Amino acid sequence: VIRRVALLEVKQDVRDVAVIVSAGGEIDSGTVDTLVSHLESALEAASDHPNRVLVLELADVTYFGSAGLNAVLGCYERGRSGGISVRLVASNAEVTMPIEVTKLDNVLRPYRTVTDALDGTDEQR
Amino acid sequence: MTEDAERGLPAAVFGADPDVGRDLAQVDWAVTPLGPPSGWPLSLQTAVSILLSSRFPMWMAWGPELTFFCNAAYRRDTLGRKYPWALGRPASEVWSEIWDDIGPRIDRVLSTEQATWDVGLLLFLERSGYPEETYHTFSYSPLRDDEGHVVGMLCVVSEDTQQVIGERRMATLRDLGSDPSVIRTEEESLAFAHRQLGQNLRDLPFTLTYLFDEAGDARLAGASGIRAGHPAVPTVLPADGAAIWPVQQAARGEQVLLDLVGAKYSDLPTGDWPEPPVKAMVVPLIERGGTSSGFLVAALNRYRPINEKNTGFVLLVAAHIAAGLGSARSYRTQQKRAEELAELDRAKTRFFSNISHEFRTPLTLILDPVAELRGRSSGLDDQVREDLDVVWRNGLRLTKLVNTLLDFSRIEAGRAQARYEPVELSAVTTELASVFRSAVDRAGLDFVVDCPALDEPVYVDRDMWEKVVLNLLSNALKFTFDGSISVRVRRQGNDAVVTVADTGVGVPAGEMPRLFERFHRIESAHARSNEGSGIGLALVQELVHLHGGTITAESAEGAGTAFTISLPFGSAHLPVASVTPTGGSRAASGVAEPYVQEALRWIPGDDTDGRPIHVAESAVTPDNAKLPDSGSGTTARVLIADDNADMREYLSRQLSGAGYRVDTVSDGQQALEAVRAGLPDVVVSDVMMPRLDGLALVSTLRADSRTAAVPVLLLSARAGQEASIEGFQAGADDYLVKPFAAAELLARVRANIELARLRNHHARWRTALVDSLQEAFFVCDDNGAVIEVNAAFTDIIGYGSDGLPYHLPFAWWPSPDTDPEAYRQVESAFAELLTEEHGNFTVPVNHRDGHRLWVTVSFNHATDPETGHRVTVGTFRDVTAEHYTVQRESALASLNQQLAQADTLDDAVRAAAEELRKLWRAHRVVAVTLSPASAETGAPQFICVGEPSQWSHLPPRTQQMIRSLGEGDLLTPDTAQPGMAAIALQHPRGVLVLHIELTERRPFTAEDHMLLTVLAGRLGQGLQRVHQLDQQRETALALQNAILGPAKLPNGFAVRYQPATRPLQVGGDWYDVVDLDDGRIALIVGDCVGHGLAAATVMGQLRSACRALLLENPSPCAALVAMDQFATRLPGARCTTAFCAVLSPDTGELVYSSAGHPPPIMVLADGTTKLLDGARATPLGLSFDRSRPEYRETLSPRATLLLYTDGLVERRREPLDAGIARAVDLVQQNRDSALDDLAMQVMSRLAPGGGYQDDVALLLYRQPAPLEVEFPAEASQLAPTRAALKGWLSQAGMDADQTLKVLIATGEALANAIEHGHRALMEGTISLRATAFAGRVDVTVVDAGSWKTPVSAAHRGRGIALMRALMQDVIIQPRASGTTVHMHTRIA
Repeated sequence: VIRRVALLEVKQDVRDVAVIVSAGGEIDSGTVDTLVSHLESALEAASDHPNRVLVLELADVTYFGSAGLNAVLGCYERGRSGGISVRLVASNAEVTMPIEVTKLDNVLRPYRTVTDALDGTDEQR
Repeated sequence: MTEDAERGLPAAVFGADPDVGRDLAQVDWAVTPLGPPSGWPLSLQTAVSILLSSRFPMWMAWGPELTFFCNAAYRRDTLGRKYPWALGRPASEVWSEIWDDIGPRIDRVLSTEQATWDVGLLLFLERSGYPEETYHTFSYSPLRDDEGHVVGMLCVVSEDTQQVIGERRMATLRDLGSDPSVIRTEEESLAFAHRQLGQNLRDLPFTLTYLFDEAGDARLAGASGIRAGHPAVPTVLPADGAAIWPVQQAARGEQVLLDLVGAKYSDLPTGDWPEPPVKAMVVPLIERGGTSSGFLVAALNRYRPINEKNTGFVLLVAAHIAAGLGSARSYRTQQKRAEELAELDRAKTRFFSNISHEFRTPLTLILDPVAELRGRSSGLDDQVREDLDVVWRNGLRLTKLVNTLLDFSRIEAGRAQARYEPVELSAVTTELASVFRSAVDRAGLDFVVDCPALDEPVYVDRDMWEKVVLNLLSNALKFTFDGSISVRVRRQGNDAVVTVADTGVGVPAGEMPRLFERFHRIESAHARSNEGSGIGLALVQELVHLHGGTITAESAEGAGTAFTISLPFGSAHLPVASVTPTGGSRAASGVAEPYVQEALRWIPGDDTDGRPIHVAESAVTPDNAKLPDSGSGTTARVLIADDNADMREYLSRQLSGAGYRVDTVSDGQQALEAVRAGLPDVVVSDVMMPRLDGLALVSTLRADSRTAAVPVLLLSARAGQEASIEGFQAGADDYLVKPFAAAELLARVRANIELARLRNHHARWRTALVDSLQEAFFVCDDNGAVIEVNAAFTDIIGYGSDGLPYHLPFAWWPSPDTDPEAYRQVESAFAELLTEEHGNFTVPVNHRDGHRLWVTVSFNHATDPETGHRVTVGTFRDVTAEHYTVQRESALASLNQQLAQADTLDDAVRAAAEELRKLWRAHRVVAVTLSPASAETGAPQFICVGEPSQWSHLPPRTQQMIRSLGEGDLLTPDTAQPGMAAIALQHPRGVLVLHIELTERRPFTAEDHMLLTVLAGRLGQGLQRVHQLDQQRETALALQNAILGPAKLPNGFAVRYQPATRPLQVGGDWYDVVDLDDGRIALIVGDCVGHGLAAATVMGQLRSACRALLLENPSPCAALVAMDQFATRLPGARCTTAFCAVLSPDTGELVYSSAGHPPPIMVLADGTTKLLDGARATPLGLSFDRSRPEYRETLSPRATLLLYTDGLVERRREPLDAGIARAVDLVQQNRDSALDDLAMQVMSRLAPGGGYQDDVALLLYRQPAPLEVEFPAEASQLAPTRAALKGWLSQAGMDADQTLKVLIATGEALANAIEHGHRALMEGTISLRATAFAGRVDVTVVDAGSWKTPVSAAHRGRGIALMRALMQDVIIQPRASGTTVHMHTRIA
């Protein structure tokens, strides 16, 4: 029996500066629930965090469709209403292209690297 | 521990196939000579392993008992129920039923170590519980043990059963439809069909056809494979009795599958088999309309299972037979109808002629004495006189009626003898009208005669014209009660127009179309009289038509009626022979009398005495019913010729006083004319007279056979012997010298009359005989001039004795200008008549009225006993009818031939129109098909031969004629308009109307009528047949395609096969696509020499062989090398060309080798083209070189490949390269089309004008083959499906950026589909199809759910937004059954 490699892996890292969630693999309607539950707990962690910053790193995501977009957008909106700055990190076309073609780049404004995200500031919109 | 391990089995031996391997493992090998598998030699293990891993059917035998092994493919295709029993048993036991066939072959392999090869061998396998007819192509090859000794054999086999049987049945169906001759009768049709069925005694061991008769009994009508008189073949099967065959079910239209068991079915013939059939099918023969006209009993092949394929074949056979019967029956019906119509027509004409003649003689004998009685001044009281008047008037009416009928029958028979003379039409018409004036006055009507003189004469036959005008006037008077009747003559262009109008009751609009119809009486409550035969106006129309004119009527009910006649000026439109250059003046003839008498009787309150008006009574007697002067009983007539008036007076007084009727003339010339006008009993002539003297008169009379017998008494003042000798020499009968005594004159006259009567008794007898001859009789003198004719002569060709003598060239000869061929024929025949002693010939002649006749002439030479001159005596009869019968038969034959050659309905119609044009030497023939479709568009389908035209260019009158014919009775010619004829007939797409415009204005005779009817009937039937053949052709094509290629094509290929256009037959081209074991695909296109079943058989074998070889070793060059050897042994296989390639679909790598085949065409995505012309070598079976070249090529992404046979590109008088270049261009231009569309384009656009002259096979492939994935609607399927798409996009040559776009867009569509699938049905499946074109990729996603329009939340619309943003032309089609998303992206 071959061990099936999980399609999506999500890690949460609570650092001094922020809560960092890293996702790798394919995000579709079959895997998005995993991401959503991780984002729920990360938002909780961030609300307890002194800096109230949640960095979501998607650099290793190889498929990102509307399911992923909706999950990330939901997280962003809930963070904003809870006073948490949700910062997205992605420079790979698999992720940036769907964001750009749906004109969500104005909202989500992905950072190129985690460092940029940690340095970045929230812009009030 | 597993069982296998317990037995010490190395798992790998049977591991290649889990199913068969498990069953092999179950075998108790210890009891076989081979022992437990653990002890098997390596060679056996290898052989078993290869066997099991192959997907091609194989079995093998090993060891001393030839122990049997087989693989899964063999189990499926061949072994049937013998599995798994057969495993591990001796081969001789497994195949005991065919061991006689295969045992010796196996022995040969084992002893000679040489492989065997059998193609299409018939073997009776008992794998399904009964012996089964099967065909196999197989090779036995030796198997060696570890030491190299032959210890077994391997059989690679492909079963050809379906193909062999399919070809055999197709041949039978094709033969059934192949009868080139036209089947006339049901018997011929059935005999032909059963002859064909008798050729296939394998599928149909015997067949019987029964047809139902009127009583419902079934009568034997045909059989194959069984002798007549066999107990199973009763000639009659009673409708109700328990017959051997199920009559009642068949009559109800039911099919029956019968078991042929029991004593009544004993001793049945076996067909081509050792045992008799055990089942038969009884199939009703259903005719159009759905009734069962009989049934077919078809014994079935006992060696094949009963399934849809087999019964379907019998149904097709029955359908063929039923169609043939239908054709024959409809032909028979149409033929019969045509004959009945013609017979009716002939009978009618005969009746009219007979009855009219029969009436005339008694009428004459009634009217003459009545006229005489009425003329008496005394002895009659008033009552008697009144009664006589009644007799007189009614006699006249009857005479008029009889004359009219006779006129009709003359016109009908083409024997109306018109004599057209130039007249001043106004004057003639005025004169005729004046006859009616008193009657019109008496009726209290105004009579307007407005006929100013015309400046040009009109040619009319006076008698006919009188009838025209009198009929119209009589008609007007009959229906007019107040107001006026008018007669007007005017010039209008090139016509003289005569109008007869009234202010009478008028004609109801509904009756107008039938106004001129014969015997049709307009029922009018308001008329002066109810008398009338209903033929007056019909006669008027016929007479006007004879004059080349037209008559029309306009009428308004209650307002009046106007008849307008147009007659052309001049004589150009009239038959030359009937035209007289000068006209004579003449008083109104007796024709008018009956009209006026009749009209006067209508006028109420008038006590007319019925006295004739301006008309001599004698003229009333019908003119051609004059009683001949029959001799003794009647008064003798004397003609006196003398220039001295006193002498004339004296002679006249003397002879009248003696009771003779006397005519007098004043010179010889007048005497001659008087004699010719009517023979007197004696001529008394002076010798000395001006112009023509007595002697000359005598010799002239004697020179003319008609007058030679008239006795002549010469009177002369010259006495003496010489004078009398001179007189006698001249031919005078007697000679009297003046002065003479009155008594002597009377005695001489009396003596001469009596002598002449005695002498002429014989001559009269002869004349009577000659005149009574049914055949025409004539005498020619030695110059060829016709000097005597009889009545039949006149009746037949219209030239009478009054025109004698007739000189060469005769007026009845065809014109050398317009009909040179007929003229030559007559001329040379007549030359023979003058030179030969006797003989006969058939020639065309023209009747006086211009119509064409055919006569058969017999002639003999004789010497005139009186003059000693040589004369020719001839008779002839009218063989026009026979001639036209022959003509009809040959026209039918010619039409049949044309119909047999026609491929399409239009071809057939055009050919038939051309036949009609030639037959009638017509100016133009148009064929118009009126169908429901054409009724909508307005312009029917139009075919024209002769002078070109179009529907829109036809005169409205002709268009109307065609349209109304199309709605009227079929097969009823319309010849109402002179110079035209038209007929309507059944066409498979509607009604066909043929319209003929004749070149000459000639009557369309009864024979023409019949001929047209028969030809049209035949054409109607022929069109049905062409239509059927067309459909049969399509059936044959479908069948052929079915046996040609692989049953199921791998994805991504398009193939076509088209046989040569004509004749339709199986060809030698083939294509094949074979899935190889390793995922590769073999492509083969080949072309055997020749056509027909032989070439097809060779093709089938080569195809099977090539397939088997490639499955064995997927190397194109190895396959072709092996085919070389095969081809040298298979007759007819040499010179086959073939192209063979193996494709790796994932990389596009193509390995190929060509045996003299035209190079395939490759077109890359960017339009670059390339021919696969490497690795070319000789066609199969020519080279003995054991190697062939092989070449590699890579199909780059979205490249298109076309394999074809030379029929596609080869054209006469053109190098092959040009054709190939055309194909290259076409593929290049259409590289963005779907493969099926491209295949259609190639087949249609490369087809030459007349269709393909050779078979064409073609095969198209585009790299990569479309991706087709189906998966259950579960989210876990998304990732693997995307992975598959990603791999395919890379094969399709997409770059990373576009790949990502397609993946995301498709991912969204798939995710949506899953959501729908979930909602709709848990078990729903989703399919994804991606197709590559040169410049784009299409993606289609289909689910079984319903699309939910995303309105509620913004995020639901995001998926569609993504699709639309990333792909082009995103189309979402929500349907009840599921939703389809279609989108594509261009590739730069």
